[in-house]
Order: sequence, then structure tokens, then C-alpha cells
Amino acid sequence: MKKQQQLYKGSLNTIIMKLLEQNGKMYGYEITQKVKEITAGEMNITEGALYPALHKMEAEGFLDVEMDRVDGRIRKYYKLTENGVKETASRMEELENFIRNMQTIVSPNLKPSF
Amino acid sequence: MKLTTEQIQIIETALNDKCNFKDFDDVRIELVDHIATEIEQELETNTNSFEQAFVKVMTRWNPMILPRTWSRYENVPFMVSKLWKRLDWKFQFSTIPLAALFSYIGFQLQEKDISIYLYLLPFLTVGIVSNGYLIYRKITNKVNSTLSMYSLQKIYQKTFVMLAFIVMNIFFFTAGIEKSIIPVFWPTIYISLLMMGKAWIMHKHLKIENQLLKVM
Repeated sequence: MKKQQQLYKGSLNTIIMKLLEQNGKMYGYEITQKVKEITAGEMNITEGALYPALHKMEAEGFLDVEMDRVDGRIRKYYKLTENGVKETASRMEELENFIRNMQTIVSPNLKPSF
Repeated sequence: MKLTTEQIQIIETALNDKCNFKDFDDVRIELVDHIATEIEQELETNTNSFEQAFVKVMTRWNPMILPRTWSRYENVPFMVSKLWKRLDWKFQFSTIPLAALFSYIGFQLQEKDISIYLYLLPFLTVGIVSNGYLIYRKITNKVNSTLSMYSLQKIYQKTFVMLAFIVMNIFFFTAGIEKSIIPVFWPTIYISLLMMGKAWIMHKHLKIENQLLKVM
């Protein structure tokens, strides 16, 4: 499981961007829970990795923030900027190529579905 | 079970007092929300008391947020210092070769009898304007974000250094000893570019401060 987490690490930003593309705007806790839910607990994004990644992408101009008052506290939502949308498309393409190549190496007879 | 205002205040106080989050409004409010949500989950699933759940959740968070004593940014929460170090590579260290390149171009122009002061003037203008903007923001800012604090750290010391180099340049210029400018040429360009970069980060992320002002 730990080794698997290492494999996911390189794709963390892409995963976050893809989730934001699908869901519009999300907050930190929601992102961790969504990933857990989609992967049936197989993948766990730690807060120690999530927030530095979010802050870095925010500083780079890929993410925009929105703040709202919820349950007596302020909630910070992230959403993709125009640049972020373009970057997501490019990163997804890279990731799909990577998966395709890995699949060709690991099981040459199996055709990828995308 | 939703937390009360007092319980949320306890989380905020812990983040301010133990982790030095008081100057980083944007990250602090984000962590208060995340930790509060985790504690609420903990209370729902494990029927612990608030105190027990608070200790459990904070213990898990501590390594990610407590300032590290051996870090370049000693009193800055670990999560923030991580981002600042990345920004250092982008804005502080990458400016070194860039300033060296501009200095080299300046010396080449000098050999073609183009005044080095004339070449330096646009850099100084940009540096002074950027510095003025940063000082203005430092005085008028009502809230602080991670990026504004990065742009404004040690701003008065940097302003002093920049002014010292400007005075040196004016001295060499008025004394008419153009060759003596060489030792102060590169640092003047470097600090001007640095100010420009920091002012750019500050301006680009003003939106975060405006959002914070609305909700705080």
C-alpha cells in the first residue's frame, strides 16, 4: 500500500485538478474524502501533501479561491482558473499517455479503454 | 455534531499560539475549517468528547504545521515555509543568474560607449516603484495571506539595502568614476528585479486579501 502511495504521489496535482474540473469548486477536506470515496479507500491523500500542492498551484495561478461562511467558520474553496483548465487538459493527456505506455509494458495484449 | 463557536475558537487559538499561524489568515482559516470538520467526524463516529477528539486530531496535524527550528524560516509554520522555499527558488535564486546576465549586457554596452547609468535607470525605476508599492501594502494591509507575507518579509531591511546601492550609484555618477560602479552594478540590478518579483506576487494575489476582508 505504501509503495502504491509513492506511485500516486507524482500525479497528485493532476488528480486534484481533475477533481476540480469535474466538481467546480471544492474545499480541502472534501478533496481528501472524494479521493477516498472514488478509489474505495485505496488512495489516501494526506493533508501534508494536499495543502502544499493546493497552495503551490494557487501561487502559480492555476487555482482561484472563494471563501464562504459555513457552520460558524470560514470555508476556503478552490476552483480552476482559465490557465488551470488548460493545464488540466495538458496534464491529463500526459497522464493518459503514461498509463497507456505502462499498460503496454505490463500487459502488452490488453488494450486500454481510452 | 456541529462544533460551537467556543470550540472553533479553541482550534484557532491553538493554531495561533502553538504554530504561529496568526500572520497567515488564509491558511489559518482553511485549517480551522479542516480540523473542525475532522473533529466533528470524530465526534460522530467515535463518540469521544471534544477534548479527546481535539487532542487526537491535533496530534496527527502537528508534524505538518509546527514550525521547524532548523528551517530557514524558523518561526513560520512548516506548511507555509514549504511554499516559501519553493517561491525562493522561483523568485530569489533564479534572479541571481538573470541579474548576472543583465550586468553582462550592461558591461558590453559600456564598451560600446553607452552610459552604464542610462542602462541602469530603468532597473532602478522599476525597483523603486515596486518597493514603494510593497511599503504601501505593508502599511495599508488589514489582513495577511501567505503570499503577501512572503512578499513583505524583511521589506524595510531590503528597502535600506536598495537605498544604499542607489546612493552609491549616485555617488559614482556625480564623481564621474564610471569604472567604480562595477562592484555595485550587479547587486543594484538584483535587488531591483527582486522587488519587482515580490511586488508582482503581491499584486497578483490581492484578490485573496479582498476575499478575506469580506468574510473576516
